[in-house]
Amino acid sequence: MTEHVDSELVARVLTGDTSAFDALILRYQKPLFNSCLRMVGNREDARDIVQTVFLKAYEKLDTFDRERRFFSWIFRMMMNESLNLMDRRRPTQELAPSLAAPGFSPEETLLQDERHARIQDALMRLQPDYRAAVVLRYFGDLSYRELAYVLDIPEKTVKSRLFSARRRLADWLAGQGMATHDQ
Amino acid sequence: MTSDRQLDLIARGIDGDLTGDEQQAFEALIEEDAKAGELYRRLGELDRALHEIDATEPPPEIREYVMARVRGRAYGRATPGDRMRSLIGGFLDVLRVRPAYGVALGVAIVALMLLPVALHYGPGGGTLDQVAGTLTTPIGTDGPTSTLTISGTGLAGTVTSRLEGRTRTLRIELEASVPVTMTIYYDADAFAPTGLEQSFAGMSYTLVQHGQITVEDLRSGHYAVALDEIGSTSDGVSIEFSRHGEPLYRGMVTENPERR
Repeated sequence: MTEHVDSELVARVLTGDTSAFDALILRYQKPLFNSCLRMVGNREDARDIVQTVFLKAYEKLDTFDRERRFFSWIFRMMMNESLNLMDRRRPTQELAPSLAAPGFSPEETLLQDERHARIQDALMRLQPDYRAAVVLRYFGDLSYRELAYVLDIPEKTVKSRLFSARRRLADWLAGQGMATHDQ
Repeated sequence: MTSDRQLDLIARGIDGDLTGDEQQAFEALIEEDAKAGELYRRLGELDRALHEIDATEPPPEIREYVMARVRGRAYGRATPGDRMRSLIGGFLDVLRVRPAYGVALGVAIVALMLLPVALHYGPGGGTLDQVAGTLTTPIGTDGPTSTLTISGTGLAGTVTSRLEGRTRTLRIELEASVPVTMTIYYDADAFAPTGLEQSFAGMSYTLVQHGQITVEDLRSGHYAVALDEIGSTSDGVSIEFSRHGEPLYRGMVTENPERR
């Protein structure tokens, strides 16, 4: 159903109906922005990347393979843009703990409570490849198959990477003396 | 020791992706193997915690900005009237989202109106008799060097622009018997200038934080400015030569078709 609606919207855009692209933005800007935000840890960067992704998607829409989900396609673009940005910003080192989760101050109300902030902090400590798997799974709600397409890796690798990422997150949070969930 | 098979069962248990037989094996595993049970409990807690994090609302300017750009470039055939309407509509939308563009456009229009005056009659501005070539290339496009040649009263020179990797280098070769002021405008979120100290050693230059390099009293010589692309989006780079506050030349060095 979702794919069918997307396919129709894409077809309408290609005939010159820009309101159909507005509909695509409304459908996907929230999961795209949230996933990007968790990837780059900064609201302004996430906004700029999502804007860029939608504009690129529009420019390249006539090359979009409609056998694929539009959702997966733009997520792939978002992930590439996010990883490129992180490469440019931090070419040789992982995020320093003191810089983890910038932009997630209480004032910005991005995270509802300390536990969620800790989880975001732990996410930012993961290597980008591992973080991407977690972010796409939980904030993009992508299936393993879609994750494989977006990350351009085999499905089997997705599973092992996601499992390793979860273990590292759980270990980190346990090391902080924090249960991830209320008993 | 938890085997790969057991880890796979735990992972699929968390994802709720087990078949009937696997479900039995999984339940037996977490009941009989304390380490496996503990791992499942911890990962399960994490899984629930991650699912509980609320999504934040995206900033409205994402949609506004993208649609402002998209409306000006609809697919398919449009009549000239449609194009004009969408161009004006898109432009007004852009101004609403990015009011600074309106200011920039106003400045550009005034500069364009004054340019002929400055070129031929400007008080103390001198003249540019000849401008040849263009520097303008699409942003982010590696390619051949673009070259601009200018000549006029007390001034002759060339400006070349080339993008290599993520670094755009502007080389300015001037013969200026009457000094000029050169200003480079760029998007500070997207570009970081380098090499200014070496290129303009001993000269008066200013670097304005929001994206402007101004070199005053530029005389004959060879200069180079490198701009490293650091951001994912940009409006481009432009260069201006002026004399006594009067513009002699201003043009885009590189522009972003997506932000045009």
